[in-house]
Order: sequence, then structure tokens, then C-alpha cells
Amino acid sequence: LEYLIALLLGVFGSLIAWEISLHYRHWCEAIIRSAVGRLPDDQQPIRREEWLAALNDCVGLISSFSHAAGCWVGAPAVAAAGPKTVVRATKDSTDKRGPTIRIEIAQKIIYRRVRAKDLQDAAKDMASAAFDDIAGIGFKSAANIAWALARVFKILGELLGGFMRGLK
Amino acid sequence: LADDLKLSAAGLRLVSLFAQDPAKRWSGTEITKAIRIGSGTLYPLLAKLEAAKWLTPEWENIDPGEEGRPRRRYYKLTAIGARKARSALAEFQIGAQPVGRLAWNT
Repeated sequence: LEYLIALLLGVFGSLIAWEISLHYRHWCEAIIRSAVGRLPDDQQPIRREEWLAALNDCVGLISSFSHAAGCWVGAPAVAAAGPKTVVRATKDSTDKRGPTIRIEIAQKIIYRRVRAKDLQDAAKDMASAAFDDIAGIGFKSAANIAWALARVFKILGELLGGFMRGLK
Repeated sequence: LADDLKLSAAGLRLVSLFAQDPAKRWSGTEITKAIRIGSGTLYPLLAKLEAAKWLTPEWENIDPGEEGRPRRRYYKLTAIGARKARSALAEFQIGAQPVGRLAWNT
């Protein structure tokens, strides 16, 4: 019976190893795509191509997984090292209930698919998030904070104006 | 920004690699092999050095469709980067020198 169990375990192990060897490249690519998804939109195409090219150069399962996992772990630091966007609002999508907007502060997605009725809450959170993010990226002086907040409120004003026009 | 750049040990190894031959361009994989540094450390460092204008990136000159693989991204030291790298490495070497001397060396 022990021999039979050992034989079955061996066969099962070989099957798993064979499956892994067939699919690991796709899994690594999926990890890299997920890592790229952690970056701001403007950095995504560059890093996707760069990291997939590096994956293509990796030989073997361990180095491929190690590269893919490294990209995933390092993605927030790569995002932080990139150009800083204090506030950005872009049209996210349009569905049957109307247009939605995606709002980012310092490259973090604060709201995705925000609607007019949610804007009031969004404004409060944006202001506090702006304070946190501005402090986090090294804007120390009051002048810079005031400048950044002025931008936040200017964009919020534009958003609200756009929504009001849309509602009319 | 370049003046404020603080380099870790891995960062100094990376800068030292580039400084060995400032005209040479390196891909991420070549750097990984040369200085044994993981992707999780390497790419944030490259992004940081690129943002500080120490490094300039350039894409491999191939047609990905024809080659059947994505283009590699190469990095090269800029003139500012070469100067800053020399200065950072010199500073590190001064800092790394022992404070005292052994009795038989004096």
C-alpha cells in the first residue's frame, strides 16, 4: 500500500508540475498586469511594456515569478516616484443614469463613478485627502498647501458647474 | 530634486554600475543580473533616478509585432546623472573610510 501511495503521489506531483510549467508564464503576465493596474493611468502603458519585456527575458519559473512578484510589490513605489498629479478629474463612463466621473488626488483614485448627489461628501473627503497627500509628498509650506487646495476647489467648482449645467 | 536624492545601498550599487561606463545603456534584466537586485527594488529606484533626471530611458529599436515580444526599455546615465553619481559615490567612499587607524598602520 505504501508503494502505491508513493506512486500515486509521484504521478500527482508530476501532473501538477507539468500543469505549472504550462501555465506559469500566463500567471506571471497576470501578476504584472495587476501590478500595472496599481499605477496611475499615464504610467501604465510604459511600465506594462517594460515589465513584460523583462519577463520575456526571465529564464525559468522561479525568476519569472520573482520578477512578477517584485513588480507587484514595487508598483506603489514606482507610482510614488513618477510625476505628481495633485488633482485630476476625468470622465469615467456613461450609463443609463448619466455620466460618472473619476477623481484622483496625488495619483490615488479617491472616487470612481461619482454622481452629482455624492459630490458634497466627495468634496469634504477630497479636502481632507488633499491635506494628507500634500503632506505625504513633501509640500511643507503653507503657500503650497493653499495653492493645492485652491486647485482642489477650483476643480470641484468646475465639476459642480458641469453637473448643474447637465441637470438643467 | 536631484540634489535631494537620498540613495540606499542598493541605489549606490545601481549608480556605481551606471558610472562604470556612462555611455552604456542597460535594460532592467541586465541590471538585475549584474548587481543581483530584485525587481521590487530595481524599478522604484530606476523610476526615482529617472524622475531626478539622473537617467534617461530609451526604447529598444525593434518592431514588437515582427519580433513577437515587447520592446525592452533601456536606461542611460545623463550628463547631470554622471556628475551626481560621481559625487554620490565619492561622498559614500569618504563616509565609508574608517575613523581611526590600526596601530601598525600609523
